[in-house]
Amino acid sequence: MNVCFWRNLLRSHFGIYAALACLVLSTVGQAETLTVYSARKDHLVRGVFEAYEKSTGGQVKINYITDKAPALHAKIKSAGQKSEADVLLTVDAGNLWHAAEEGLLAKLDSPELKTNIPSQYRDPENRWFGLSVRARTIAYAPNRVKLADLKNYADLATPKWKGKLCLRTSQKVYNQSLVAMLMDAYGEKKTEQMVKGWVNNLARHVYSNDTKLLEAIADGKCDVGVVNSYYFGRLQRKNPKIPVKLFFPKAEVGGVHVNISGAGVVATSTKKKLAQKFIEWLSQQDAQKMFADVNLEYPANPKVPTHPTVVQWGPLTPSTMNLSKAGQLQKAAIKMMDRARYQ
Amino acid sequence: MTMASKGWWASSWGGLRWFNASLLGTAVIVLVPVLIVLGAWLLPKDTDVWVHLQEELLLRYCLQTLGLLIGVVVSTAVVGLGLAWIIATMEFPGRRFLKTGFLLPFAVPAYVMGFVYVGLFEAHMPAWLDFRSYPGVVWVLTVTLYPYMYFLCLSAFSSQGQRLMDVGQSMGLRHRQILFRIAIPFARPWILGAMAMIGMETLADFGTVSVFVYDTLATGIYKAWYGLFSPTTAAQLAGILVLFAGVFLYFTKRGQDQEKFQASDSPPLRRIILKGTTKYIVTGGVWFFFALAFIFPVGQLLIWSLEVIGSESLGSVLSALTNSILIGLLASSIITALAFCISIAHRFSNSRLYFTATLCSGLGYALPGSVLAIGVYLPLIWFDQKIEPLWVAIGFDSGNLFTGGLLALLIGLMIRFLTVGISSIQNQMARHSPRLDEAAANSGAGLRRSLVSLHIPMLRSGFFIGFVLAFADCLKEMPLTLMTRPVGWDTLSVKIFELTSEGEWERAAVPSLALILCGFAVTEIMRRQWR
Repeated sequence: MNVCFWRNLLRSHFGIYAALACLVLSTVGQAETLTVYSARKDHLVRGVFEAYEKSTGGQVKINYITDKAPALHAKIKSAGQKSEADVLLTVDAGNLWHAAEEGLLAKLDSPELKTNIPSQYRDPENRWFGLSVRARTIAYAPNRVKLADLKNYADLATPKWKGKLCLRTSQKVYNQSLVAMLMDAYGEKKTEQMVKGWVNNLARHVYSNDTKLLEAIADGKCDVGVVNSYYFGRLQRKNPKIPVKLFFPKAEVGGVHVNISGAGVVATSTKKKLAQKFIEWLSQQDAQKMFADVNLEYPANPKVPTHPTVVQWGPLTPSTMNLSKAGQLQKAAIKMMDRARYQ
Repeated sequence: MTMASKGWWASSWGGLRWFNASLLGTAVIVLVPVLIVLGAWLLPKDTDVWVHLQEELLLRYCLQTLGLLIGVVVSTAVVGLGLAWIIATMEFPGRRFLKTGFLLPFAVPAYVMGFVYVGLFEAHMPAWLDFRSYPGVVWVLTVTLYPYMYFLCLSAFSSQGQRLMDVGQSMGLRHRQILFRIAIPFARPWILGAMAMIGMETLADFGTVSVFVYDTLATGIYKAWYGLFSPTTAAQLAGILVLFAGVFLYFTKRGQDQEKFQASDSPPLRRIILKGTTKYIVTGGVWFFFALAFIFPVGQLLIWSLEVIGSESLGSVLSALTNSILIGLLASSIITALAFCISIAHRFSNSRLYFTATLCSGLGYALPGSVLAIGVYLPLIWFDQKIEPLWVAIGFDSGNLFTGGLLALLIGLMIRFLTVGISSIQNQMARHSPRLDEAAANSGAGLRRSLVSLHIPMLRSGFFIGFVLAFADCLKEMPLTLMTRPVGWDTLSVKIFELTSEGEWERAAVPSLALILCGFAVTEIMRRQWR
């Protein structure tokens, strides 16, 4: 980072020194660099990137920046042909869909990725590929809620949960994707009724993140909520006795809404081959395990075993929709949530 | 200071045109992103999104923004003025410590204070009490922004000195009446200056209102851009926000410019020694406030840090710290230098153009960091693309000269916090009597001599305050840094954001404390300045 920083400083101030510095640096280092824009947090990707560098025997060096997905999209878009990004690694299918729609991602022809990643978790046009799967499911307080009372997302809108439900803000893309998927399954009108029912049932003002929502359930401030599975995993790691459990809706009642983190090759990249190789590597056994386990997620590659902690939460029955729907319906979902006064 | 009274003699000073040029140049640099944002109104509206906004959201955004602005400006005025008055005129146990102590919350960014308070309340208060509400968000912003008001009012009260008190007493006014009838009217330029800064900070805040899920125009911009995927609408909403800020800034500036003040060489204030119940009430009250504003939040951060310190890699925090300090020093040096040039041009140049240009230079404060980032980035990338053929011609890969390094971030910070530097220096300069310039001109001194021997030495504390405040602001700035920093270049604010957005508040406590420690250094320097 230090070298990079000085280089940047010099470049922005003394063009001529920058020229010399870059010449020197480019002759010294033989390794090729791959620039990754990652919406996945630094501590979740660093280890994986280092493992890749090692696996290439130091031939490839990964330079990366982490930021929120929309900011990364904006940066790639405004830089146009000059963008330095080779790979876009991001969270949420809606984000991936938008990146593809905006023309930021290149089509890949990769038999390996097609074999490793189930079709449900990749773009029908092969511009992005899911790498890890997370469930956005129901969390509940087992000491106050009977398992038999839990059914699915729609059920949370019924009056029996009045004053007992906690939700994260609708600003978060995970909820937008969830509602988009529900719209696809139930139709717009019915889903709007459902979202209104949720808002009616709220025990407290919506939360800005899932972690605090889970803690609120543990503290008895609410009985049920909707969260991403790995947030529960993180809390459980810290406090194994936390009085919260996850419930996965059964396939007969629509199954569990799942989402992905995934990657694609940036359309303007000059190192597409290298970038594709990297994503292929990420879909392989060892990388998949590392990539999913570090965040207690489900590997996208079905041949890779899930982390034992995650298995303990119960059997996952994902809804079978292709995840690109989440992006297509996102705007409509946001508008509907606004109409339903879901903040 | 009225236009006509400005120095007629200055028109013969050749050197002044450099200052004028720098003022106009800066105004242009600030205006480009503002115009890019405002220019969005010329683009066709994204009808479908606008209809939705008007039906469901726009009114709420505007009302909530206005509500927040009024709430925070009023409560910071009450708190900041009150504390400054108590510290300036009363003697009680712990006063010496609290005099600088009350500046300490300034070191805590509002977005940090926000998550700490929510965390404290969620953990220790009964379930029916939800801190995430209008009073909660006003409280958090008040507690982090009142130091602007406190600091400027305290400077004002101290500079008025004992003479004012004597005048008040000779008029038969009681202590409290002196505050309302004499001290506050005399401190008006400082109060308005502080209100301007607090108002702009409130309007641009994104981090705190996000923690509270309190919708304002700033969150609306974000939503229009990143949720409804309509950058045009986002820029149009940002235009409304800039309008809010422009109107607010105009009135506070006008209020300041009507006043004419001169430093008095009055003896320092004699403080009242409190006795009896008043002593206990005042002492208890100010210490309680200090505990709420500083001890509890920092204590909570310490506890959280200790919980995670073993598992946290300190190396990354350390490199983020170095980066933060470096960018802060660079940006605030530029800001102070430019603010000085602007203030000189504003003082001596006898034209409405320069008055307007000065006003424009301060406008960047009103742009939310995320919008400013795009406003800065777009023209820079355009430059990069324009000079590309030149690099190709000499056979060299330049990378991105303008956007690849720190330049975008530096320009962004400069635009955003220039007003901090300008108002510090101008407030100081407002107290240099025009007669000084007259006398200097009559004795044949040119611009250079009157600057070197008169204004610059007298401006020392103005420079200093401007530099330090700008430094602290640059350190804390989050969305702008997030979006314009070079690849892989993290600062403390970026680290904090990454962790808090996922609710990992314990882990965010470590970089937060590092940021606060930098702030301590800043207040310590200020304290020495006061000696």
